[in-house]
Amino acid sequence: MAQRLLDVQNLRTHFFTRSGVVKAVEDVSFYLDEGETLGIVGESGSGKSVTSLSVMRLIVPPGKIVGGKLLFQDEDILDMDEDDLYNLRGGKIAMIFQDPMTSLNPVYTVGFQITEAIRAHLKLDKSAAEKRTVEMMDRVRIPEARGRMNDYPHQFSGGMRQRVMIAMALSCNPQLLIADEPTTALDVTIQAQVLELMKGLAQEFRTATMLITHDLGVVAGTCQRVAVMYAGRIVEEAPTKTIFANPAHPYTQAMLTAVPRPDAERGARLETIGGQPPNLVNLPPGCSFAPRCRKAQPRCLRERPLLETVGPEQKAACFYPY
Amino acid sequence: MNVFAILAVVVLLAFIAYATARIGPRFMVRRLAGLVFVLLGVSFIIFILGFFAPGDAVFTQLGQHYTPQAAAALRHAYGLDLPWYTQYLNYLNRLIHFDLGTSFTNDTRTVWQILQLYVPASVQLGISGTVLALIVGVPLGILAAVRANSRVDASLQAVGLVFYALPSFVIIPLFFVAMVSLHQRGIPTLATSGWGTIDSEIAPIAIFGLGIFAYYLRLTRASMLEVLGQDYVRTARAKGVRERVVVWRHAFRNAVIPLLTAVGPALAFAVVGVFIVEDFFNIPGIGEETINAISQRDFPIVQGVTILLASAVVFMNLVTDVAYGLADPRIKTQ
Amino acid sequence: MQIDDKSRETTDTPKRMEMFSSTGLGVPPMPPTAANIKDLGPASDSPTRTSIQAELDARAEGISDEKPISPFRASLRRFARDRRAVISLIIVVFIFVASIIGPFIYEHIGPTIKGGFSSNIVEGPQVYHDPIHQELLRSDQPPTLAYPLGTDRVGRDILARLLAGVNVSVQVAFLVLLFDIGLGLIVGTLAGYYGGLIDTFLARFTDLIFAFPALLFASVAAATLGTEFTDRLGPSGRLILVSLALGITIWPQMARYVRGQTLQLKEQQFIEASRTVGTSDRGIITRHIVPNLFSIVLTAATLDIVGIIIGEATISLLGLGVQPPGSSLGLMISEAAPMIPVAFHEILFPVLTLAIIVLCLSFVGDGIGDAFNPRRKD
Repeated sequence: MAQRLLDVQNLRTHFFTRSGVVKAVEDVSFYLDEGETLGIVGESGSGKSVTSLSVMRLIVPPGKIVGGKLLFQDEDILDMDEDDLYNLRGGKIAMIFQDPMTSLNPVYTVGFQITEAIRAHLKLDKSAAEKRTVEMMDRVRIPEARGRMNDYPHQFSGGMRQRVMIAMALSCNPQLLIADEPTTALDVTIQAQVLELMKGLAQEFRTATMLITHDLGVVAGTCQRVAVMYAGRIVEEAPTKTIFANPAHPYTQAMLTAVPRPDAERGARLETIGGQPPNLVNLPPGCSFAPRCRKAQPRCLRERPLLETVGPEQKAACFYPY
Repeated sequence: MNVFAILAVVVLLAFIAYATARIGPRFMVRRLAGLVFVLLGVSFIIFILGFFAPGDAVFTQLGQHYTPQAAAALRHAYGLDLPWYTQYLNYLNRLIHFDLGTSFTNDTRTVWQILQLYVPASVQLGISGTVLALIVGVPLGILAAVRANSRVDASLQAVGLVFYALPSFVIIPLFFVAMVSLHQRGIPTLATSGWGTIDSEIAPIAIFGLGIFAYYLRLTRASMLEVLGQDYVRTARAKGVRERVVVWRHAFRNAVIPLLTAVGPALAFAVVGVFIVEDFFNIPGIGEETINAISQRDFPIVQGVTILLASAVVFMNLVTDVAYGLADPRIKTQ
Repeated sequence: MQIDDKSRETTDTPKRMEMFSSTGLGVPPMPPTAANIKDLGPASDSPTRTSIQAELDARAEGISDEKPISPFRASLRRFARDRRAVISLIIVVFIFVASIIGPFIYEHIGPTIKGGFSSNIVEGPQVYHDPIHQELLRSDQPPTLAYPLGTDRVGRDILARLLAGVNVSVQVAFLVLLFDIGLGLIVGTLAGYYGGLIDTFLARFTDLIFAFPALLFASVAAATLGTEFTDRLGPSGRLILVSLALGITIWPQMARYVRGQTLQLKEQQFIEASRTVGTSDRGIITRHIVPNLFSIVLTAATLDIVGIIIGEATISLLGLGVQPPGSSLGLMISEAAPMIPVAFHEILFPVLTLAIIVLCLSFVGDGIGDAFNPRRKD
């Protein structure tokens, strides 16, 4: 049995805006074992990105983590002081963001930016750190790494920039890699390459990965387990195979039918989920998905279903699963 | 030609050569063409205003010795009887040779000599005030942005707004009133007139700096706020560098780019401040001299000052453009 | 030309152009772009820090707004909620209106006094509440019943002169704004919509104005052409000249905002759509573009008024604008400056009046910028 790496318990992150309190993440619990790959899936605004930023304690005002526990190797990230956090960020947990175009500082060379991360965490002198930078750029398969070190981000293509981000993230041997929509902003042809590279390197480095995406297709080939988020909560959690074979929550089911499949019959219609995700300021009582749910019963509008075990290794927050 | 002119040309050429090497000839050629265009335009406007202005210095200068013959002779001597385009071309030709002509009201001195007499005080006032404003304004602007929406930010914004909006001729009288009432109570005060001693320079420099300080405070805050919201700042935080490094190395280095572009325009705006401060504090500077020259229709001096100021603004714009090019790698390699 | 325009976009980033001072008079106006308006905003303004948060805000807002109202009404409503801006607007409007109708009321208020060189002429307020009437024996007086704000060094009523001075500011502001908005709107729209020659002209002219010490231009114009204008147009000739000089230095900035907004609008789908159904350029400009320029013009104009009022005061302060015995805030300040040690109230009132006008107008400008900029959040 693998060691528990990250154990998120009842995380709540709210944004105190002028229009009201946005409960972006509400009562979210999940875990990650060492070396494991967890996918967090949901449409935009479901709270998946806020969850990942919360784990890094990178929520800025008016956002605030208002409750829960973030146990990383049995230590609560929420109790950490500044110094611990500096060691944690980039050192133990590294992060890759969605848009490689804006995630790199335009006025510094990519070499400098990777070296900076290395020197923040590994006790290396300048030349050793630069050597490691070249090595990392080689490993993410950036051609002529030594020369390209001195290039600026704008001289790289989107895919190459995301490789730089991966090199930077893995340069300090983190135990956990959080990838927030790492391929969404890339060309479709590049997406698979980058994903494959990330998956391969994470295995080599024995890094656990938390992959945040709205794309179930990405999850299928990459993750061992999947957590589905809706309106700030996890609505279903199960091994990837189970999710695809036997989804319990109506939302998951709806999402799966909305994915185009190559094996679908010709002429088959692609289903869509009607309606809009709810406003996170004034969530009505009951299940947040109920207004859009085809199976909704009166009870769903009154009571909120809890995340409960519905099958082997499978949890769902629904009164009427399957 | 004098020593200053030669020195100026040498410095300019060296700067252009350096900038061309660093940023590339296309950028520089475009900038220099713009510079020449602006200087031509400014010289033309100021020339035309003077040319078509009713009455001329010949009356003022001859005074009671005025006779039509004497006036005609003097006009001829100054070249004022030529058609306007010839006069303008002559004027340009003299400008190229750094000859700004001779003062109408004081024909023993060239405009250069007069300018050299008055420029130092103004330059000293302008530079010390600006430096003071930058030293105080930029860090406070950063502080306000880093602590956005805090009480510190709110008070800095209030201070910034008041001193940014109020012109110096509102602040100076209030300062004078305060000085007078302190003085009447026997409390030692700062000098409110003159130039050349530390005591007399503190107040004008501080007051001149106040307006510019507020400008930089607001500009820095806005610029920093925008940069602090960028994804790469989040990346920097996510890789675990210290917040101090995030603010200075990652955020400020980017925020400085729009700040740089504001230096040139700020100079044009500082000119007004210098004029007013000199007027109130009786500082023997270029502002006082220009106002006198304008009222005496001493056009060579007005033209000289205008060209000088416009050149300074245009040159500062060139310098900031180049600094911009150096600060932002995206420009260099495009 | 095309190469040139393109290069302008890359090196002369729009931000740079917009941060330029337009008048060089008094204050360098902070332009009403989103980036800068953020800075001009009230302290409670919360900056968008991350895209996630922006998205959340948008969602939170979009759904809570129940009844759709027109953007203009929504902006007005936002403005009305800004207490500081509304109070400032009321004060400014009061001061401006007072300067226009005030003198007619003021000349009937006040006791009869004995004036003249031997204090033997009985005068009513119609006489001594005239802004240019001198009572040499009553010079430098502190506030009294007859002179609510006292008298200046030649015995003129300060309140009457203040009213006349503000009136000058209002007139100049009105004239310059006409020029500013008129020319800025025409040139800006054409430059933005058609580009080409007129765009190049605007760019070059703006360069020129930005490099020109604007105060010097206005001063030289006032000094050289002042008598000419006074001869031809009477006493108000000088005001017209000062207004013209200020207008020439101020309009390129307005034109640049309009140009920028027009460029953006041009790319919008509703304009594309309108073009595909065969609307003429003229129709598109007058029906679709110009109405959508309202908020940016309003914001820029409010901030321009501040620059104009300070500009006129500066020119008059330096003795090149309104000539004695006429009145202007700038002239009053320069006339009262030597009297500070003896009678500081003489300078205090014009200075405070100017300060109140300038600050209130800045607050109003902020409020309008916040309320009418569509990119701003609630």
